[in-house]
Amino acid sequence: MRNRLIGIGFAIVLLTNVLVLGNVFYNRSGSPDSQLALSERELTKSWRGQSKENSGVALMLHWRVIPRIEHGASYNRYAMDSRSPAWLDQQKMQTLGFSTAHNQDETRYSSVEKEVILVLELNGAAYQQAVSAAQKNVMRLTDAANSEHDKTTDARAKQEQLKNAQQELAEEQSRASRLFVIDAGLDATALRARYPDRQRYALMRGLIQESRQYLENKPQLFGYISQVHNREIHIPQEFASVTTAPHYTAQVAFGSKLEPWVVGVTAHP
Amino acid sequence: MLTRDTAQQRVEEIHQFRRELGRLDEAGVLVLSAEQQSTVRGYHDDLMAEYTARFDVDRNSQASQLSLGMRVASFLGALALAAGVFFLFYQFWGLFSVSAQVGILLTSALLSFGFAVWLPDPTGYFSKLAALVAFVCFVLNVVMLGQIFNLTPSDKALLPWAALALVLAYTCKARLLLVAGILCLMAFIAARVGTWGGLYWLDFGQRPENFFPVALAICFAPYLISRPQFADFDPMYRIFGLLGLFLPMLVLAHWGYGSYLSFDPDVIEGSYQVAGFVVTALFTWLGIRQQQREVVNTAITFFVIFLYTKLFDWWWEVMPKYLFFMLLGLIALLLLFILKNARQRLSGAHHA
Repeated sequence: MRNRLIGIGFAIVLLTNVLVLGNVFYNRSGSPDSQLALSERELTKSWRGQSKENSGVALMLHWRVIPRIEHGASYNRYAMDSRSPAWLDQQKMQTLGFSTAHNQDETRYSSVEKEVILVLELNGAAYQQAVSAAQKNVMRLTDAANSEHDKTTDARAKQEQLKNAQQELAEEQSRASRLFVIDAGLDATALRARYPDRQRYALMRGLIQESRQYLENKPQLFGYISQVHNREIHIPQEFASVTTAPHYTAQVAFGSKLEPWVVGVTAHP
Repeated sequence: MLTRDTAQQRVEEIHQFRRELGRLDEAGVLVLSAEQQSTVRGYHDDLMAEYTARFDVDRNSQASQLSLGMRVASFLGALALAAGVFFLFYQFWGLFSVSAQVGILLTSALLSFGFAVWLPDPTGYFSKLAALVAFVCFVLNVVMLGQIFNLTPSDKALLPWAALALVLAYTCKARLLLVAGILCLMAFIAARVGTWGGLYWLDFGQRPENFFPVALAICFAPYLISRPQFADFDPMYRIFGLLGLFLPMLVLAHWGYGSYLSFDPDVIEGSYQVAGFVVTALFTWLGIRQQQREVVNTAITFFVIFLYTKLFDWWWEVMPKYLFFMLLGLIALLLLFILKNARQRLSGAHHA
């Protein structure tokens, strides 16, 4: 029996490695599902790469959303770092398989998470919307600063607000991530048919969790993106030194299992 | 089949026999002649010498205390070596290409496993230490492959970990690895049950009922797979099976929202509180009947925990603290009285 167990043990180690590497080969075989050129704005240094105890280098995918904006609310860049996008409303949650049966039951709260496929858009309409919102905010505050009608706010405060808004616009145009999660679904093929540009749209697996918010004193079901899988992307040793440059572009491919890998990294002045 | 544990037990029985024979001799109840004493002593000395040579048993209390120290040192040494391997890899892996990383991970897992199972060690201390290092190397193997290739986290990794832990446990007679294997297996099956119930696999803890099927299976596994040479493994299965059953019941007895059932959470909590008392009492009875001390101890412990948490819910807010704790003490005395009576009845039934 002992010899049989030893044989089984070796088989477990070998078979596990074969299966894992086989999955890697399957993910990377053929043409990638998508390939995005991500800069240091979208791929930031991971905490893992900053530890003296860890020589591995990884970059963290930094994604944003266009949040639900209350009527009359102004641009809020920090809200875009939230995980609750405007498109993830009750109707969308139902299509993703979330039940609204207990929506009205205030005594029961569910924190169900579901794994879905997320659509990430690089430098597309969502990013332009964010830039446009920042620009409108600057224009609004410029008008307010120049207006003599509004006596409620101190002139100095108005200038301060305008200055902050201009900094946010500059941040939005030059440093903020241009990667936005714009949709979710359960069928990768259907999503790819809806977003065919493989240089602009990447599909990744992630988790959506339900959340209840009150609108007009009624509970409404919304969702938020609790996690995007494989957000931390390992950088192979041959590209590790390039990521120390202040500006770089990484070609990130996403395979048939929607798992990413870095194809190349180039530094910029 | 003679194992180290049965041999150790035999040695302790010999010492007990010698002590009792001495007392009988002093009381004049049984006096052996010098020749008989010499024959018996010589037989026992030869037997203990054989056991020491074959199994490195402890021949006296000082040796057993040193053995305990060796076990602690072995355990701490294994943990330290495992952590060292882990951090060693993290320190240098970034300097290697992907091919070299994969090669190093696979080689270290295979070599450490081979070393653990072929290490000649009749005492078992060094082989158990090597076995734990081998398990950690394999876990590291899978985890690091996941990081290198950016793989999606999956509960499927728990299955080979459980399998290898169990193989190492049975090959090196390491109970710690048996526990590791049982925990990995329980986590995997609970995660699977959770996904069938519509949860993401990592959220299986949000529905404690996911643990019930596997906990019962683990608890009764010894009836199917028990072997005499691994008799000391059976209590581990039963203890962790019971923990997998009682802990979720305890959680649900105070958190009805965590149940799959769609009833009122208060009703769910009440039901699990009642079920907790009933099931712990049932397992106490089963443990006494099957003479399984670990089952009795675990079940009684959780019965008391269920009782005390219920009393806390009822009385903590409504009575002064001194009165609450005094009542708890009185209830403990009552339990002691009940168990003592039960033990006397059982002893009486045994002698009859």
